[in-house]
Amino acid sequence: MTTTPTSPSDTAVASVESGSGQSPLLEVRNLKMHFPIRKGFLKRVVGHVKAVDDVTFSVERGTVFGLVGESGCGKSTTGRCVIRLLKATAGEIVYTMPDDEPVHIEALDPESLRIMRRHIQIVFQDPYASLNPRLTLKQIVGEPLVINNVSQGQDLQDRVAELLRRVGLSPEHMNRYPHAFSGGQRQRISLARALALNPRFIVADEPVSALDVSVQAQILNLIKDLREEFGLTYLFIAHNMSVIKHICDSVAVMYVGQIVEMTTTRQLFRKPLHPYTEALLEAIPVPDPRRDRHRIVLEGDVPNPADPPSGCYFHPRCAYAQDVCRTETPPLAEHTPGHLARCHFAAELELKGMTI
Amino acid sequence: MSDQSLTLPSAVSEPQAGEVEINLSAGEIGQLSLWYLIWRRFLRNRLAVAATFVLLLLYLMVALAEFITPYDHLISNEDFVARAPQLPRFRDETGQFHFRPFVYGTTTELDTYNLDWVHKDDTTQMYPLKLFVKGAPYKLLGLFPSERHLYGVDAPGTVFLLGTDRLGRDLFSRIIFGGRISLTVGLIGVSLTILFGSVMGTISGYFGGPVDTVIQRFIELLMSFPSIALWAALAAAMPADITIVTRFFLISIILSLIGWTSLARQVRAKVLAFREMEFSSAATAAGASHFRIIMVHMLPNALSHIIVIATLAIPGMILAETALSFLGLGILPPAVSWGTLLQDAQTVGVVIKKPWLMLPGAFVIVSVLSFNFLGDGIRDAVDPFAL
Amino acid sequence: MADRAETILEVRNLHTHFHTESGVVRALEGVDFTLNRGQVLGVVGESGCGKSVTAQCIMNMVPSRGRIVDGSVIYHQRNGQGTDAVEITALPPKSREMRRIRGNEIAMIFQEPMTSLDPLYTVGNQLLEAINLHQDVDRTEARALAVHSLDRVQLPEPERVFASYPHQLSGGQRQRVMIAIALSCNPTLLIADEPTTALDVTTQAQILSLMRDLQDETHMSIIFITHDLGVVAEMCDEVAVMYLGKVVEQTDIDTTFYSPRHPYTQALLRSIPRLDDDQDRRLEVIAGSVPDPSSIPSGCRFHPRCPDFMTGVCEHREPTLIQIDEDHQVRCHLYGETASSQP
Repeated sequence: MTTTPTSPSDTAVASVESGSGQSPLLEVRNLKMHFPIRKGFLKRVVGHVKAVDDVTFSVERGTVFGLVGESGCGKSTTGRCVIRLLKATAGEIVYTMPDDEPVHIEALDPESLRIMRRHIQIVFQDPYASLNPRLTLKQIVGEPLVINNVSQGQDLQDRVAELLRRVGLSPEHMNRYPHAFSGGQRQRISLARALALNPRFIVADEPVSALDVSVQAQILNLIKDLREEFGLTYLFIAHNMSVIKHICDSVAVMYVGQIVEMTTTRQLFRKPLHPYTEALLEAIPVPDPRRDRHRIVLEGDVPNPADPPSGCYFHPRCAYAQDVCRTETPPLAEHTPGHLARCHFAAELELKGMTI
Repeated sequence: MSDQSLTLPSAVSEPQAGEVEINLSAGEIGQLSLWYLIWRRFLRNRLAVAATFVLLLLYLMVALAEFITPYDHLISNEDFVARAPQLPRFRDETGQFHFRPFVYGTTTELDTYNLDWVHKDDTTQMYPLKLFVKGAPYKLLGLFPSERHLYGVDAPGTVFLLGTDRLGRDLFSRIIFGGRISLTVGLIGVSLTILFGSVMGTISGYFGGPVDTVIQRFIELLMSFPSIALWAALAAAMPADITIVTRFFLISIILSLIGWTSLARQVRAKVLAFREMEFSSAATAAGASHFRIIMVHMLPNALSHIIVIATLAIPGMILAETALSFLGLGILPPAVSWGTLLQDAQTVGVVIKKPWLMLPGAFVIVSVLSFNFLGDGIRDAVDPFAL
Repeated sequence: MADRAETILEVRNLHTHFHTESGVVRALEGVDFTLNRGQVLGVVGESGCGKSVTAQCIMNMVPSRGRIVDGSVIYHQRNGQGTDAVEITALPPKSREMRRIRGNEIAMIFQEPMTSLDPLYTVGNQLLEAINLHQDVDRTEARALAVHSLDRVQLPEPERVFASYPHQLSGGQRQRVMIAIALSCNPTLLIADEPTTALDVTTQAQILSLMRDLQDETHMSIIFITHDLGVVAEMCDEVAVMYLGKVVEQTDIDTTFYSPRHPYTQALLRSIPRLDDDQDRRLEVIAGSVPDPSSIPSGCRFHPRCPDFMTGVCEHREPTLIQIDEDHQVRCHLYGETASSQP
């Protein structure tokens, strides 16, 4: 926020143009996050929960990259590792600075990390837990500016007012406390706080999951608008495929800590290559009563990440599983250009997608 | 779309913080800080408000003890040893009504059978009670010299509202001066408890890991001592030649030495919860330092809990001091506290023949109950807004 | 409409208020719907619309601070020849008759399978308790019934599940156990209060499919409470849409999705992201947010957010529930008092 934002449309155009030739804005390589399981009086480590297990993806400038999966698949943990709220066990997180200098986020010392954090911000799921109830809106939204000595006094007030206006809140509410606001308004406040330092990259961790249906749409539209206005790039974490479809350019589907399929949103929905993706698409309740209600339902439960199945993690629930799936772990392989899937039979299976 | 928090039926049956003030518009409530909302809720709890007034009155009385009391609490009077309370009267022997309350004089006889002084009201002498009488000179609050006392009677009359002790000292004066020590020992002890408890609790909860383990094991060790025995041992170990003031502070420290442990545990639990809350993560993501996160995001949110726990800890301190002094290990004569006063009421003989010597106990009960009501009131006021 | 189908439950003009220390919260202010035997009725609405309170009223289990101030819930109980109408709201909540109805006639499952099961007892204990409470069977029979009911909800290894504690089961399995407990006494009406909200999509699909199978098999009537229009479309025959304590529209499932009449229903349908959307479609939004139950707008409660707001009418007069078609009721001034002839 040291420089005033240039005309928003310019930034957006610039970032879209730079998308093709240059390196991606964020690259995550072989990210691992293993939480030790401790037992007994001496707290000995008896095993590890592989919450994130060898995850690799990259996010192009100006795009929205979706991470989708069911609870416990490691999508939120991945998001938190990316902005170093958690320190990853292994792997590289490379962020390209505005001067094209790559920065290894996982290796930053505390001081460089503080500077780095101006570029990457996060919006959380729970609109109630993400705002400190003892602070006013001005203090909440202005906190990043105060911490980083960007602004104070009247200037701070003006900036906070502007931020609130950008997210569709009235600047007159600046001196109110969060308890006076509804869930949707609180998510707007969170967005304003995330935008305060004029970041280029935002991790949105299930930002609409806790909201009412009618409010969800407002926030999704706002996230889209802000992307264009500020040329933002998002890592968008969600469990709802319809939301992903609506907002993401490309998607990675996660299952038990691993990416099982990754491609553009259009491709993923039209022609999924992994049986889990197919099952996820099948499972979504579609708001259309004329659609056939009887469908294939995935059996069983998500495995415990502390004790995953042998071979392909998905094989106990997979309708297409063969012997090889029980013994051999499939690699995440590129089957068609830009379309990766972790399945032995990705090339052979004819899976059901959505007609778009 | 797991909006459990929004669709729970309790959202209707148990109004949320924001819904509490129905007669205010959302905008008006929005301007009010949580502290103000808590204050409004507190004011609705009559018992807690009454307890607050009782406590304020007690503290006012002990602060202005020299003015409130008619006699010096240290001066003994062999003519009035263990005299029963002289209650103000409006009607004399003949049934005549007196507009101004009065007390009778005293006749003293020796009961040769029991070898004890027996005091009787001398109905021939009537001493009207007077306000703002001149008496022994003193300095109010240690600053303003004065010789006026709140009430009294003309010499040679005496007014012992709550009777006298076995050296003929006015019990009311002694109770008020004793309250000075008993009531402040709780406050000082609790301040130290808050200081130790929140610092250790915050460090333990925020940094976790080995630091946390060490602190927790240490707390468990302290908590496993029998507290009275530990206090007694520490109090007995105090050198005998220290001044009353030093002794008083040392006792406060001894009392808080164990008191802080439970507070530290509760603060730690809160900090652990806040550390997981997303507003702390958001602050970290914005580049906030550990110090800022603790001071801006954790302590203010934990403060209401700390206040509740501390208020509820004060009666324990008062009781502990009373117990120590009662056992002769706390405050030593000539200094008075409610505990030393109750030492006089240790025998059955006293309980039967001189029951007024147990009156300091009533003051202990009233103040302890008031602190409990106050603490409960604060807790009820804080709860709906607590995280 | 009573001639074709047999009514099992009628909710008429239900008003339920909660007395809190800061005033009265009017949770329900006119809930009307009818459920036919063997049908699945979806009660759909956003937070604070009173859908869960409605379920509590039907079970006669309103929390102590709440009071049904007006209206009635009438349950039509089958006897040998026809039906007896039982006014549930007139029965004392703890009466023997009400306890008999709960469990034997009407059962309920909740959103959170974690907290609805007692962690200290095995699944078997809790099932047997429910069976013994309502059925006169000996121990071996009860056990056989319990294992059978676990089998019926498609739990693998019902014997093992019978002996497990709730924490040993996954969320989906726990919800199956809840359904097994609810169905153990063969109720004729099941109330499902957001039974899949806390579950993952694939687990949700399993539970929905299970409930559909069980409904096909037993022809029980179901009231399915949810905020998810997708789930409604998958499960229900009839839909009642609620907004701030009132039913604003009730009709069959097809009409709800293809020709809804209430502006709220219409707006709600337009605002949800759909899988078959064009990706660049901008979601239409409903302005503002659901008002706090303690500051309810005058007139029609939806008027401040309504795209079809008519000045001078909507903010002053409360609309009544209008019968606009044989099986279609709407609470909106757009359809006037005499609009029953509209197609």
